[in-house]
Amino acid sequence: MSQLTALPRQLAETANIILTTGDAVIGATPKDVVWTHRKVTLWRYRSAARRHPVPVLLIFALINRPDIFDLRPGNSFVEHLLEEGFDVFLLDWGVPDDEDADMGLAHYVCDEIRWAVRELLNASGQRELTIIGWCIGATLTAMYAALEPEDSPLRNLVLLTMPVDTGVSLYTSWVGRDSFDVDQVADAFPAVPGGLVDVANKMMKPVANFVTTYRKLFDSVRAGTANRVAYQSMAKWVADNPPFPSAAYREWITWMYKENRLIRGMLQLRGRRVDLAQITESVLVVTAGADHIAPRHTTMPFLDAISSDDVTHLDRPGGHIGLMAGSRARKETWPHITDWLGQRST
Amino acid sequence: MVAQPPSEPTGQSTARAGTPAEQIQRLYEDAESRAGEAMEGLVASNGFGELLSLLTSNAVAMIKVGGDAADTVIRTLRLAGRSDVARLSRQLARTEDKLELVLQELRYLQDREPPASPPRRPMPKPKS
Repeated sequence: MSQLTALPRQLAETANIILTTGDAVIGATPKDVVWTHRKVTLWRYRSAARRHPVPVLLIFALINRPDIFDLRPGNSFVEHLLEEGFDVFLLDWGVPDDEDADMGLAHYVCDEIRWAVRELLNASGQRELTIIGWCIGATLTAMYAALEPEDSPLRNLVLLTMPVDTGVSLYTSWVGRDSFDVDQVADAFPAVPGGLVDVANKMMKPVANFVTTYRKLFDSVRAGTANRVAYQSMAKWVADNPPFPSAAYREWITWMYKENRLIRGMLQLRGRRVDLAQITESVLVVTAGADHIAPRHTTMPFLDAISSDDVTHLDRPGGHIGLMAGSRARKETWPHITDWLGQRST
Repeated sequence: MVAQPPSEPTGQSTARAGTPAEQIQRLYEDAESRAGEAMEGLVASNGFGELLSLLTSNAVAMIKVGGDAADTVIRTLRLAGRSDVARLSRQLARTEDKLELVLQELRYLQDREPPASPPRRPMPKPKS
């Protein structure tokens, strides 16, 4: 008799996990507002065990929310940093809307990051900082570092799964072609819906994203090994897609994918050339072996372009996000980053 | 004669092991994996890129037409629409920009000023 009800119960449980995903708690580590401008917020995580004098600023992409740094209790990079004694700040881009259509890359790099660094130093009372950038956030961080003078407060850069040389990539084959009219999209949407960008990301691996994810969930329910909290926290984060301000979207697609300006040294922000050779800080570049959004070969040319004497490259298993938020990240990625940072944060 | 290492089990030979349900499961996973690889090859093709560009253009055009029509209806009914809310929000954003400029001035002055010394006590008036 129990066999008769087993399958409907498993289906109902799978559906329940999917339908209640919105209730999952993510980004729960306590933090305080340090500074705000428009939708941008600088947060500081509470800690009573700060040991390293050099504070850490986390910067994520313009698509998806930065909660991925602090996904869930027990699986949070922020928690790990705090446990290791770092003073941790987060630059949150917020959720842009139509009124932020004028926010271009220069606003983010030359204004928001620079102002957030000023407020971070003021709040922490320190003279130097480390920035950890991820995905587009890493590219924006690299642009910021390239534009800063040599006596800037930037001491260390940690760049995770960063697209730099987009000459050959799946994204480029989609949006880099002449027939993709980025101006039409940017003119139609003052804030390009995050859902559109999300669908494009998922289309890169359609079966894995639209079928396998749910099949594996059902399999785990059948086997009695489903981890509801882990699934829901990641699924909630994946589904939270803030809009992309149209100016930034237009510039990102045109400059990075259609013209590949950054690695060619042709990118200018506010009339200043973004020259990666100006980067002299200690740099840790982390790539993911199975990254299909920013594949390793789109990051590697960065290592030859910069002038830093202290450069480390870490290649880890995993995908674009799994690298830092997957179940193995705690053992395979985070300790390497904090070890590297600890030696350079005295 | 040189002994050959055992070959990797194929999908079919693997599927023969286990219960019928397990065999079906393996066959399905194998099919899903092959479909995944085929789809990844498809989306990476030039033809798919062209198709995606055209579909995006059509979808954006349709959304724009629909949005413009909805705006016209809302304006005709004299209701506040999305563009009105955006205009108000832009004014708020400009105010925030000005506040940020004030904060920059404040930080600049803080950096320039030496630490404040305690206020001087007023001298007691001499008794006449």
